[in-house]
Amino acid sequence: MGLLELKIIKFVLIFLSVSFIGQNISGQALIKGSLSDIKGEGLSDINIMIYPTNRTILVAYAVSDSVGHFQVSVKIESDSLDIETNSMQYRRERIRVANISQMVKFTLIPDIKQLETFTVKATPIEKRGDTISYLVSSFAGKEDRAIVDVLRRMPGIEVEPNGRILYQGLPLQKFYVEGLDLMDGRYGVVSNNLPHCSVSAVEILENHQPVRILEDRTSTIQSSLNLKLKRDVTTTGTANVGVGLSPTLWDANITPMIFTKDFQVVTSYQTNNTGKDESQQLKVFTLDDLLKDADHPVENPEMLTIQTVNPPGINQNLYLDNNVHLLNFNGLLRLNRDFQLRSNLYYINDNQKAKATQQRTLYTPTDTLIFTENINNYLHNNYLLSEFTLSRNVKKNYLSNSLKIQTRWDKREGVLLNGNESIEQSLKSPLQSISNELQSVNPVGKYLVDFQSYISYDNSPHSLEVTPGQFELVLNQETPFEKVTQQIDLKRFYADHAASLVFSWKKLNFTPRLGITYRRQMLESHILLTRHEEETSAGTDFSNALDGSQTRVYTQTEVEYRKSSFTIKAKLPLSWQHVQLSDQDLKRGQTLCRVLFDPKLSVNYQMNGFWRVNSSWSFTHSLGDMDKAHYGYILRNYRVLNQNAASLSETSRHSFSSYLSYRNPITSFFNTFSYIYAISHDNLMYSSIVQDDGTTVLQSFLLPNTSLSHNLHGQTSKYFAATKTTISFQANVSQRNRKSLMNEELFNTKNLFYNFVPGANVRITSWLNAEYELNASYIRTFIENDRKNNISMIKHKVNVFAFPTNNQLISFKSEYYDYKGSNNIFVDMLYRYTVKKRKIDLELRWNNIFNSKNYTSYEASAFTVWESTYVLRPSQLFVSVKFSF
Amino acid sequence: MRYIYIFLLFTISLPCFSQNPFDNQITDIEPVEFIITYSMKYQEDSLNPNFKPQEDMVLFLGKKISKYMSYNFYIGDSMVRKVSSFEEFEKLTTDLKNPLPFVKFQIELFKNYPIGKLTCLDHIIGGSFKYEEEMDLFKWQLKNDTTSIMGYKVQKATCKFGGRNWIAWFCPDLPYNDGPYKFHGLPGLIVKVNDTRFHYLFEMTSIKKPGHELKIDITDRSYIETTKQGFFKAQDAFRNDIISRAKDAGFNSEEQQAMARRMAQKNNPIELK
Repeated sequence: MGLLELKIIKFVLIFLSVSFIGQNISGQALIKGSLSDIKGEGLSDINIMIYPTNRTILVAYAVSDSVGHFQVSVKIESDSLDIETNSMQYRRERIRVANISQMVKFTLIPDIKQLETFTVKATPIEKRGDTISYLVSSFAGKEDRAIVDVLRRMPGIEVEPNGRILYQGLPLQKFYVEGLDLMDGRYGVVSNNLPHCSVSAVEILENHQPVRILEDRTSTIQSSLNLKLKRDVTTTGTANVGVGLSPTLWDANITPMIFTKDFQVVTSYQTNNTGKDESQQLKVFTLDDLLKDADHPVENPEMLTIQTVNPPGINQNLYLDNNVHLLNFNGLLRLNRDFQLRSNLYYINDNQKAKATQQRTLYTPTDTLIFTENINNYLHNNYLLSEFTLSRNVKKNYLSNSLKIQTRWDKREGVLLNGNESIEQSLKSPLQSISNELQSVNPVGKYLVDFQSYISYDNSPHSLEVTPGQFELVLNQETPFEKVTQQIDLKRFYADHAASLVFSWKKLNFTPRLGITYRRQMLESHILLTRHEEETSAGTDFSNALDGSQTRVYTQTEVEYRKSSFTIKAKLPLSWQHVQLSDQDLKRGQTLCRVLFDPKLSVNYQMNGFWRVNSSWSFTHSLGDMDKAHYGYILRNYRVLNQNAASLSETSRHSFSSYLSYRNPITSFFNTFSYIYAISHDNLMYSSIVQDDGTTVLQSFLLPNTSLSHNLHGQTSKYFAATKTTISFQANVSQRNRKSLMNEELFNTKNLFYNFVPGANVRITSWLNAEYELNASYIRTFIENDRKNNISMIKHKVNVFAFPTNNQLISFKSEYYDYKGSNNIFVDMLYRYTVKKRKIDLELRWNNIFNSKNYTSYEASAFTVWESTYVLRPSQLFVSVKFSF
Repeated sequence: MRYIYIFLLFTISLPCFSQNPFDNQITDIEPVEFIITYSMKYQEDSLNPNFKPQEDMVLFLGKKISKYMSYNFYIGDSMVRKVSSFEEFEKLTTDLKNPLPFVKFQIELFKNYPIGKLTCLDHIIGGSFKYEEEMDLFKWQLKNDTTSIMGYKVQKATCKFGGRNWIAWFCPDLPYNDGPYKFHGLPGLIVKVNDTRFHYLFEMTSIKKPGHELKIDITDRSYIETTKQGFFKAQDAFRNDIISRAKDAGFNSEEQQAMARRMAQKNNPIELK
């Protein structure tokens, strides 16, 4: 296009042709038209707006179509109209035409508009930098008690039912009181209990990065919250008190707290005898910690036990007969030079009684042995955990060092009736352990290097006394004796050091990790026999002086390939391990050196949103735990004498799993199906020599063997909207095959487990729902393909939940089963009433209404079946109230 | 236990993030010209007019196409997109110190994509859904009322949509025929829109040009392709069947009941039919 043409266009900028179509008689005019640019190309998505002349109120409009045409009908009483075009890319044009049906044509010239950027002005809350400050007094209402009630009213802040606080929809990163982070994420204790009248302002720290070295490197969109207190010293708290019958029951919890600018304390005392296990509070801190600890040696080795029964799969407060006291102290102190010291202390005193009957059936190709034990155990647990964390969080680096000291003085006593013989067991299992964990983030060139160190040392001098003495055949030339004592002293040292670096290349992120662990342990043990009130050693075969060490160097690499709905992943961990064991007294030992490669491959495929298929294969090698190897005998419990004198166990395992699911949320039809097959090769075989009285000598032998397992799981459910009912069905089938060695017979064992669970869930009204479930399980044991048993158990469960009003809850839970011809029924009832204004919860609980005495469950392994009958807590009525002060 | 509970609650509230998000291909459609933010106030429980949560929503305007989603979802999605392996993803979802934003609304609306259609992507635990609607959803009636909102001269228009009567205020000086949610088709950007009972209120809070190059994009998941009615059916089934779904996810009976109670209070969707 030449210059001249452009000039001409300037003059005919708005060339419009008006063609006469017809008189506007009906008062409705149909205006058709077209829009084009100067090249004559039709323009789409242009607004055509019709105004009465000289007015700004739009009466009709149209948008041009893909070729630039439009059509709009106008119904106003007026002689003429203004037609205006408007769009982002072209200049606005306005023409006046008669109010009659007609054709119009626009030629538009480009003109990119600049929209002015704007943001709504900040609300009149004080805002400086990245901090917003809310005055508590201007938001607090009459009914509010705790600071959390006021937080709810503040704009931008939301509190979820579980107590989590969100700011602008995002969870808080840190919850500070006077700039100190006392509770480390468990801030609910503070926010729910701190009265709002002691807080002067709530500060929101926007885009707050708590690890300061990362401040300029990674941006966060999350905020943290800081509470400014009115007074220099604030003391407050909460309480929960409950009582019940019978016998006398209590459940109390009192949580006082103190806050100052440089020193903060939250303490708690909790006690109950209602079957609530307070020690659970200590067990899990964060998921992160759980994953990290996976490779560390078990915290409490528990090499010796008194005979117990595994807990049944029912609600703990039905059977746990306890009397527990928990003291918890959390303190934080601000030190010089940006250091902070936090200490978290827990003390637990827990006394438990457990009563159960266990019937153990052992099968061999030629024989069936049945032993019955009546178990009466008394557990006295004393546990002190102290954790001290020193941290420094500045721009240059991040450092956090946490020292953990644990002390246990556990005592367990058991009186056991084995047939007619009464056996007393007494175990003292103290533990001292100290561990130190250090994490630091430091810049090295362009990258940040994350260094982690974990060092631990523990000592467990345990002793088990059994009266009268057992294993007289092995220990005392077939002569009965008064008492056998097993003494163990285990000292362990463990160190794990690892460094990882984070860097990116193209679209991939790499986190290479290199680490080294070293473990050293000393095991000393002796068996002592008491004969005629005289204690003598059982001899060198029954003692250990084992010195063990293990070194492991590891790296990890991951590879991933994906193409649309296909993903193939491979994990390739490589490690070098060196294990050395030597027993000076027995003059035995071994050295093992291995390079282990444990590949894992998985394939994932997804199809049209409904179908999903996953398959994976892994080949893993594992070396046995050093805690389990010893050349001399150890009396593990009153009836197991154990020697693992063969080499360290080495297991290699192929595992194949596949998963198929069809899930249709539109028809509410969900199905999943999975199959896992595993084959393991083990170099060791465990031999059990079971004597007439049930005592067992357990030894390991070098005898390579293979075991197989198949697991099938299927699940289906369908929701029927018409009846507001969900019908579901679950099935589990598993089979295990292995070789077993018992009483010098080597034989094949096969275990079959079936479990079928049909169920229904009905929503009767919006405030009432009920569910029913049937649980049928079957156990079968085959010895050399000969079926030895056929156990079946069918249980029915019915639960009803009702919410008559918003602050009331009523629930009934019941379970019924028939066991050896007698009916067993368990019913629990709960009523909860919340006084909303005063934030008081009242609760009435009636457990085990029909006062059922026992609960029975089954377990099976290779050639053994356990039938355990637990003595339950009696029928109990319990009332509790929760409030704050 | 508390943390595992939070973790579960978290993953259950982020279903769309939880299915290997890094497996998904992302298709760029066109550059973003303007970013409009809206504040949405809505009455979650039709019986409780006192509880009206607020949520920030974003509208990305391109030349021909626009994308609408919640701000938190946009942020969370951007965080997840940086992830390239399952381990990193696990770390992201379990990192309690730096968690993903809490996403209440996972709807993504594409107007005029494909041409002449409105594409809606949404998620219900257990599946990602996709449905299309025609663009001419709204029969707007222009009203004579004009006013000024945040300095913009706006005119009123009304329509019936999704079982509610709506009042919109649009600004002819902002010549985008777009608006929050599915609302569009007026000769100017919708600056404010609410239903006559004030159960839903959208108000524009900002207009920005993107600070750096930004694309309207769509994530290629394996979507369940359905219709609007099919999606609503799935949504109703999820609401009514919450107890068994919570049970499948491993929640105990007390938690299942609590979730059902919470769900019962979320009974006021923007489109009633």
